[in-house]
Amino acid sequence: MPPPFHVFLDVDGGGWHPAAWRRSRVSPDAVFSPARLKEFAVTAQAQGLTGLTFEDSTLPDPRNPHGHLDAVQRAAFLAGTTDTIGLLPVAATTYSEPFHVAAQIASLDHSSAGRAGWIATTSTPAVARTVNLPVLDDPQAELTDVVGAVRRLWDSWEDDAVVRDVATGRYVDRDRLHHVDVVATNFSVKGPLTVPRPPQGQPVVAAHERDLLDPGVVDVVLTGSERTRRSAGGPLVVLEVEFALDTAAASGAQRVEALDADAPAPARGRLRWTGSGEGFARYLSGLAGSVDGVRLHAAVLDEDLRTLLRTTFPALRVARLLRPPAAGATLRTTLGRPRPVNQFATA
Amino acid sequence: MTDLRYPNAVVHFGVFFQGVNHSTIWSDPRSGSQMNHSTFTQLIRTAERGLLDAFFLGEGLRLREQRGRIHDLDVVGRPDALTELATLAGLTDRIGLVATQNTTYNDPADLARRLASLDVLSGGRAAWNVVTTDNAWTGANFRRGGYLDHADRYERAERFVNLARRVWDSWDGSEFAPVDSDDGFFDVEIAPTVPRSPQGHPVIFQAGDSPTGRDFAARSADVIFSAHGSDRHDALAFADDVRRRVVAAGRPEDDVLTFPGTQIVVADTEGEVEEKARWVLEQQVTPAPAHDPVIADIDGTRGAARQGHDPRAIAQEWRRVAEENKFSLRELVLHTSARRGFAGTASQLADELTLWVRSGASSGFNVTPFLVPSGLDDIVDQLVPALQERDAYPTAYVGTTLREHLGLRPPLTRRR
Repeated sequence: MPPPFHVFLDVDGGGWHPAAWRRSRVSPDAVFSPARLKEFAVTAQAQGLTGLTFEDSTLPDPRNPHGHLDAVQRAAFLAGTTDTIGLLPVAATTYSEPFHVAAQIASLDHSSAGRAGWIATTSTPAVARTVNLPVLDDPQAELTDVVGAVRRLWDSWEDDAVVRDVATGRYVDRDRLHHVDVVATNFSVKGPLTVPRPPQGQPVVAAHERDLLDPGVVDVVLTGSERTRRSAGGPLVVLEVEFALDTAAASGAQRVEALDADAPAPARGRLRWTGSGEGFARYLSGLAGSVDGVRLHAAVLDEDLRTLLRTTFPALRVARLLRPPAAGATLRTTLGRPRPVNQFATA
Repeated sequence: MTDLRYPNAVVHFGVFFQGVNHSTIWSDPRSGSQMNHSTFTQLIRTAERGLLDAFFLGEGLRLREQRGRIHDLDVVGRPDALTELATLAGLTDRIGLVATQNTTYNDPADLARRLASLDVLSGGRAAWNVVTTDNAWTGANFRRGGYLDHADRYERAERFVNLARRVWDSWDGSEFAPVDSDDGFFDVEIAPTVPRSPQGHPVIFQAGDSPTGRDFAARSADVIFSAHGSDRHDALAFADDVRRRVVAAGRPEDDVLTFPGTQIVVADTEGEVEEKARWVLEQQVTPAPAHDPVIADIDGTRGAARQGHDPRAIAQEWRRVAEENKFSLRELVLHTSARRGFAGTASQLADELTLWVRSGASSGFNVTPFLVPSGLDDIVDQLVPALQERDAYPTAYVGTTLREHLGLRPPLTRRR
């Protein structure tokens, strides 16, 4: 049996290409339709994928105005109607409140019974203007601080803090609730969190390597480079791949060219792959030796998902690289990561 | 019952899952988990079966403490309201989803967007229960810290809501226009990223009883969530006051609904009603503490002490009552906590609640179940049918959006 290989699929708007919504089989507004989101989730779960990711941006691209519903909201919306697939929304760290992010991801973990992840990202200076905060010149350091604060907040309730002791009238044991007392460069947080410790203890944290000063602060490193390899005892390594597959009408490369004519795609630090569905399966199989998984971004979800389902995924299944998460497993369990000991636990 | 102000009015119900309070009886064997997702699912499915208008979640951004010690006697620990409601949106079809959200410790860009996202995902069922906080102590959990005095926090709240409305209006068909603000409270530029929902804007609830809060509601809200949910004459005086303020703000008098928070105890016979109401009250008052309270430790910013009331005067009055009746401390608490909400047979309650809405004392009721998740069952299975027999409750959801359920006009900024 080959080592575990994890396939994540991003479901944002029409696809990774900014002109994707123009090619979608649905009207522009229906790109936001909740029914469509549910359809993607049901399909991805049935295919045995490890997780869905939800890319996000709070700034629309002015050249190609199109929106995003909030990623945590989208992930949470799917928590009750899925049962094995991981849900990993993007939430930025640069200008957001660590307390709110911690509460949101903890809640997602509760409502999904332990399937939450968090893709921590940095924001561009333009976002500072939307919240009237000074531009931070070291967003990587801020990400480290925020991830650290969020992890302390998740641990601020011990697992057994709710005691419901009728004899003494105590609902919680206050000795098992902890002030986190974080004092970072740009913020401080007192704690404890208002949400009890999440089922996974610590939901899975991922970040792109360009946003990381120290890969040790995350569980999963996202990378756009095939040169990044996993290391024993280190975080999982997941390769970010933007892909466009051949269709009967055009090759993947031609499709990207046509989309670029409508709206040029920015470079996002991801690998780009074009070709046939079968070729894509061979390519992904070849990666299994060096990375722990891939995060797939379809150029146009409506078009590329069809080919992915028809040719790429069946081939990955034959190669035993697409193995569905076990029923009832948490995302951590699926990823082979132990449940962390609480940093405040007094034993 | 001839001179009723609104003779055809129907009762509206919301259910309020507070998550942190003393009125949820957690010690009873029938009381379930306050966090497991099955609890939320069971409660909201019961509510939707009973055609309730809305499911409310509470919010608080710091655990209650006194002198550094976390309060341990009440239910505490709850999900993030908007995140939980998004999950519930995926599991329900009609019921409104109301998130309590603070204007002091949120940014308009982020909160307006998350509310709009819930509104789109739920097909137009989102609402925002606007609250404010005025202590730096809660601010210790946030980047900006935060202390605002009473007047400023409402000023900020109103500007926040107005800015959110502008953001929601700025995605219009295929037009997108960034919103600029530079008003001393918010110096920002926010571009819309979320399309308009089927109900236009999330419904705005305002929770706050002070004159400043009432005026804010009269100018900016769709519904006022009050504490006047026990005595009809008190509720009527409040509702009349709100109507006066709404008219003064240039709106039709029925433009802002009143939704008092309340508790409803239903039993089969009058004897059982009294017994059950007494049991509920006794369960809600925790056992006497092992230590005597230290008066010097009582701090109005860290509990539920009422703004503007003199704690010394309250204490003196309670001391008088206790001495007169020879009450123990616990008996005194039971005495002063009595008469919260309604208790009766289904038929008595149906008459009473119908009278409330038809006389104009309130538009509906936001009910906090004293047992979670089963505490709504009696209301849905007994009270709702009794109201329906009196033509004082709908027999089906007519519309799909919360705005339609509540019979509200279009959003304030979207009227011709």
